[in-house]
Amino acid sequence: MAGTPIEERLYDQLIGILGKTNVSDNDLERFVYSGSAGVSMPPRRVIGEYGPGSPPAFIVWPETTRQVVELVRLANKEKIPLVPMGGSVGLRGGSLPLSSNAIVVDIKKMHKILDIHPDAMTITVQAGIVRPEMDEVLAAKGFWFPHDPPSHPVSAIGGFISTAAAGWWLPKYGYMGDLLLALEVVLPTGQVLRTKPVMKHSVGPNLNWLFVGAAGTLGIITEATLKIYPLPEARYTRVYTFDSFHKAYRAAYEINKRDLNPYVMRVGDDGHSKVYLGRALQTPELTSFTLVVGFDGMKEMVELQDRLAREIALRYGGKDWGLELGQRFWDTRLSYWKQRKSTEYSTDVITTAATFDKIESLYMAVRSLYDRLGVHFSIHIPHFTPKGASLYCIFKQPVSPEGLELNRRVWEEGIPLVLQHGGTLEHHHEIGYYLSRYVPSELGTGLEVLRAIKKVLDPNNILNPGKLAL
Amino acid sequence: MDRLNHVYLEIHTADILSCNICSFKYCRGACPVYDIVRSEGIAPSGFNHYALGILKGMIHYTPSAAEQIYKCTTCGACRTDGCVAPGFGDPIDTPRIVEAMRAEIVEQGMAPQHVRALAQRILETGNPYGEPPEARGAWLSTSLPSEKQVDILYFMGCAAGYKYPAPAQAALRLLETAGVSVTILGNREPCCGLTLFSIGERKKAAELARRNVEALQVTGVHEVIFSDAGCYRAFKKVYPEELKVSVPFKVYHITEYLERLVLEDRLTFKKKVEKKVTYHDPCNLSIQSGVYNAPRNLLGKIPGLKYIEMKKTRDKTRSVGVGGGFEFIFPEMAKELALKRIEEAKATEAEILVSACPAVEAHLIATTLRPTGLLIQDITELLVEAL
Ligand SMILES: Cc1cc2nc3c(=O)[nH]c(=O)nc-3n(C[C@H](O)[C@H](O)[C@H](O)COP(=O)(O)OP(=O)(O)OC[C@H]3O[C@@H](n4cnc5c(N)ncnc54)[C@H](O)[C@@H]3O)c2cc1C
Ligand code: SF4
Ligand code: SF4
Repeated sequence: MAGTPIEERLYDQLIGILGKTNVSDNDLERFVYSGSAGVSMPPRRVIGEYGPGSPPAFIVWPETTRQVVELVRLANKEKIPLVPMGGSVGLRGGSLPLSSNAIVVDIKKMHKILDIHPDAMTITVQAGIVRPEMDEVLAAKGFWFPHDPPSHPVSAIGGFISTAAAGWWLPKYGYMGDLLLALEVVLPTGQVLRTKPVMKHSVGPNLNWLFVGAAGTLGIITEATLKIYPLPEARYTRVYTFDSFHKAYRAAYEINKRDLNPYVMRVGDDGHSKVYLGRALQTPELTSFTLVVGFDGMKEMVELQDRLAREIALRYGGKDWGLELGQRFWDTRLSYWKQRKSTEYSTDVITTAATFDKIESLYMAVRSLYDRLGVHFSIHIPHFTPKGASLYCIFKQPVSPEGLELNRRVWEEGIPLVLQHGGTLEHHHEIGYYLSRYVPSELGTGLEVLRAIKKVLDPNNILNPGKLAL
Repeated sequence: MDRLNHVYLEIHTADILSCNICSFKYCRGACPVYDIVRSEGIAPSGFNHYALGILKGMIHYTPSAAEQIYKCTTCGACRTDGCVAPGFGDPIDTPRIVEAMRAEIVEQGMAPQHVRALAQRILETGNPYGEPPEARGAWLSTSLPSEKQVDILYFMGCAAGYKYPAPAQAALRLLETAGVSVTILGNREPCCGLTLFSIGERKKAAELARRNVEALQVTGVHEVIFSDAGCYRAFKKVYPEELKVSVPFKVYHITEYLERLVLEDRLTFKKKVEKKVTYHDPCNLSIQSGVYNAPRNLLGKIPGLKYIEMKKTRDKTRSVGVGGGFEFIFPEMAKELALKRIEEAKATEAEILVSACPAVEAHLIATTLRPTGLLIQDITELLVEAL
């Protein structure tokens, strides 16, 4: 137990609110919490940099909304920063404590399913729940929750909401924010906001969206009501190869334009096909440009969608690798990002999104930067939506101080390039701590609006200071 | 502490670095202890991050951190269930990293008091329960042949020796039925020392391993059969691979030995046992020693038995809290793990949960003193019923 009288007093108060087993100032945990969030992109600590994370004063695990309220009130009284944490794999240090007096509010013990409502097609959960804890229960009732980034076994629903996460099946099912009906949020002063589970209202702006992507700076999400879908009767997926990025992209663009409504549509460059898709599918022949496209739902519909999409893909010169490989894509979807047992290089990623007209030029700009710096690993388009597409541009660097320097250079050259080509600063993951410095160039006046909101909601600046440029 | 002094941890440098390069934490879903504590620190990824800090000289062991490093049953599920996909290389061996940290903690004199007490108990009484040595195997009949007469030894282990003799009695009965004569050391049987090893007492564990091998050699036996998965793992894996003590006799787990007897038609099961049964893979037998099929094949030989697999099974088994000294150091948490596993077994609608390790069964039975509607047995007890 840490020593100063103020810490001891706080410790007692925290125990009073949360119980002894839900408060820690243990040395092991304080060290791990100071670095494990966002540690890997790039792996600073492996290279010997301690990084910006600070061992927090305490880590606490609330189990109820009431406890969160009391915690927030205490933090306000004592002017102590609170850092909300979900699965802690946001990749940019969003849940990293930045000062030694911070308290990490780890919501992982808030993982109950509160209600499943098959008639409403909704599920209400505590915000610390992870997908595998929902899957089985939902499947038993014939449903699933289709927000499916590969981090879904680890990231919490509250984390997904707070980073505006993008699942693989969003072409059909939408982003995390789209799947959200209602929220319970403990505001920075301790009030509880509950929104109504309706699809839309015209009673001012929908306040759910204030917390989608807010990185824990405006409130601690404690509960969420989410849209669930019936398990699909059929799922057809195919992999096609093309001899250029252009052809693969145009085929996907056409499928999207025809409104065929795929659950998945991904275009990969040669790097992506080799190091991710080919490897996960254990098909080393996949070395050129690839398109993965799939449909789910009622069998007759799926057959038709699949046939029409196939015609388009073949028209653009695609080679069809068959439904069996497509099924393997589904089965191995979690293999993609599993560790590579390499200590020589690591990867990092710039993710962006833009309207369709800009995607190819964005790809070319980033690709030539990566090729020039010798860091290209894999670039792919993970999602198409009716409004545009995203790009996921992975680069690699040696695990060494020089590699860290190279990493800094890629970001310094890469972000201006992306912004100049009309892309967004970050589409996928989070801004967290590491990308905060670029926020002004993305948001402009928008940042002033955000800061004004933050000031009103959080007058003592206790919630996750230093993140999202707030 | 100079990083050059991390002799135990340094062996695992490549694993520690690549785990921290990954840090995607898929491993967490497999960790039974993480499942209850939900801490970033007490999880495979967390242990490996702490190990990185130690290796890189960013931090030093402290007594408070040491306490948390014992919150791992060393089951190995993080290795086999989640870390890497098939074909993607070897997974990270977190339990070995945890054990290495414990060895360093012990050598730096930082082991928590209850860990030290456990080590002392094992060294003084020859068993982790602290029971008097002379009471070991008190239930044994005196009619077994002496070691001079046969060249197979049956090793009962501490749990069967003191807490739950039924599996050993059943094993002896099955061997006798098949006409296999074995001897047993009775209260001269030593503790295998696996727990000593797991909690970081490397030197004492190695010393004990050497003495045990010598003692067994003196008896002149050529084969040793174990019921306890931990003792089996100690002799099969830990002595030669970790403690560098070679084992000059053949070692078998009772299920492997019985399977052989069945294949040779020396043992048959004729009586119907019309019950619904599920099987728990003890971590020390399955993940840690690679024995998955022998128990299942044996169950398959029982007429009338309805066998149902649990959801998390084989190399995705979940620890019941026995292993790495966990049940002695954190008995309350170990109970929680046992209860979770019992719930998983009940979900199969089985009437009987069998396992193949008296230490596991003794712990499950002690945890469920209240009736749970599920009978817990060793596989050998069920096999005896089918004779
Ligand atoms: C293997 C892998 C693959 C990934 N793939 C994708 C992908 O395809 N798409 C994608 O979008 N992302 C992806 N990510 C990134 C990551 O999954 C998301 O950023 C995710 O939303 C983070 O959730 P988390 O629970 O881990 O949050 P954390 O990292 O713990 O926190 C993220 C942010 O949310 C805040 N926060 C967390 N919980 C709460 C709460 N209850 N209330 C208020 N604020 C909170 C934190 O303070 C922090 O600012 C991937 C990550 C990994 C490791
Ligand atoms: S143990 Fe495996 S899955 Fe877990 S963080 Fe390490 S490498 Fe990744
Ligand atoms: S060995 Fe078992 S208890 Fe230990 S970290 Fe791995 S999964 Fe958890």
